[in-house]
Amino acid sequence: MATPRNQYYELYRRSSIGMQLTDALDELIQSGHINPVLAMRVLNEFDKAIASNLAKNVKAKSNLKGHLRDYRLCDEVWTFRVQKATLKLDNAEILDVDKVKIVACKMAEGPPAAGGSK
Amino acid sequence: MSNKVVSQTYRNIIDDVISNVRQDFEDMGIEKEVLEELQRSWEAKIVATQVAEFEGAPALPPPRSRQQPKAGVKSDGRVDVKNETSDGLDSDSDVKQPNKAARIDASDDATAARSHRGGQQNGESSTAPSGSEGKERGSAEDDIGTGSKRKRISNDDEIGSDLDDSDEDDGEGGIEGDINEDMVLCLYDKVQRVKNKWKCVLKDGVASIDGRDYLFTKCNG
Repeated sequence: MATPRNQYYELYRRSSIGMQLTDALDELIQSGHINPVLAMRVLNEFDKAIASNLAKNVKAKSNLKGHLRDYRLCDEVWTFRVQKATLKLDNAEILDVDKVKIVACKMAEGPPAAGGSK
Repeated sequence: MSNKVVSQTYRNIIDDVISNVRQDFEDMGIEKEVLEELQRSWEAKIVATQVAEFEGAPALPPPRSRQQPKAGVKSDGRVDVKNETSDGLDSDSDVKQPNKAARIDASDDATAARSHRGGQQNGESSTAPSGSEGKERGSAEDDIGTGSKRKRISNDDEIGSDLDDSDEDDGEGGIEGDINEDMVLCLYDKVQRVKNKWKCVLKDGVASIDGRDYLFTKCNG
């Protein structure tokens, strides 16, 4: 029941949907309706749900080209910063982005920091 | 990469999370209205970010408006007052209010007694052995615990970001700069470099670009 589910990355918590969930949970904690343990449980479920939903339901592809300004590989997490990036979307739409940061975790592995991955 | 799938995918994620934590909420004796409130406020916040078009939600509900009613409940502790503050909470506030009332204004015996029965009906059976005393202890512990455990949450966030965030960011938006800074969160399959050319296969990404979100399964760069 109380087993922590560590086999999912927490990186998506920084996406907009994750940030909004964190905000909503914070408000409920501050108003005393839930305790932080439960909030962590919700966030763990979120890690799981977003990972499986992205894998299952999203079929879109894209291409990215740009000038790589710097890169970093630390604890199996790649961080790229790309300048003047061009993103080609599925529908031939092209997005020009001045600066974009890409944070990428290794696929299909437990998160390196959380430990205890199954 | 697509912006159109965002709303449906987020919808699915919300539904998954809410249904998966329902049992946890029950086990902890939290009323299901709190969970519904969580879902509502989460959805409202996402809509307010305008990261994508969400059908049936063109107007932006003010996401913060719910905080004030609750604060009012705490300071007054009166049922009457609370009923009129329940605009954002619908009828579920009836269930939550009693607990608050007992906590703040235990002198109102009739209300307190009534409310405890109400609370226990809603799955609070485990931790309230003797009326308002038990309740008050419980909530006091909650309040104490809130401070320290909240820190743990933020620590966890920091742990996550230590991995993938640099200390010497250019000062233009750190973790909080999600909306301002264009960022792609994803998994990598392969990262190769030949001379100055990089080839990456990125998977399952959430890209936040110009305030909109895009999702993709595969991305070659």
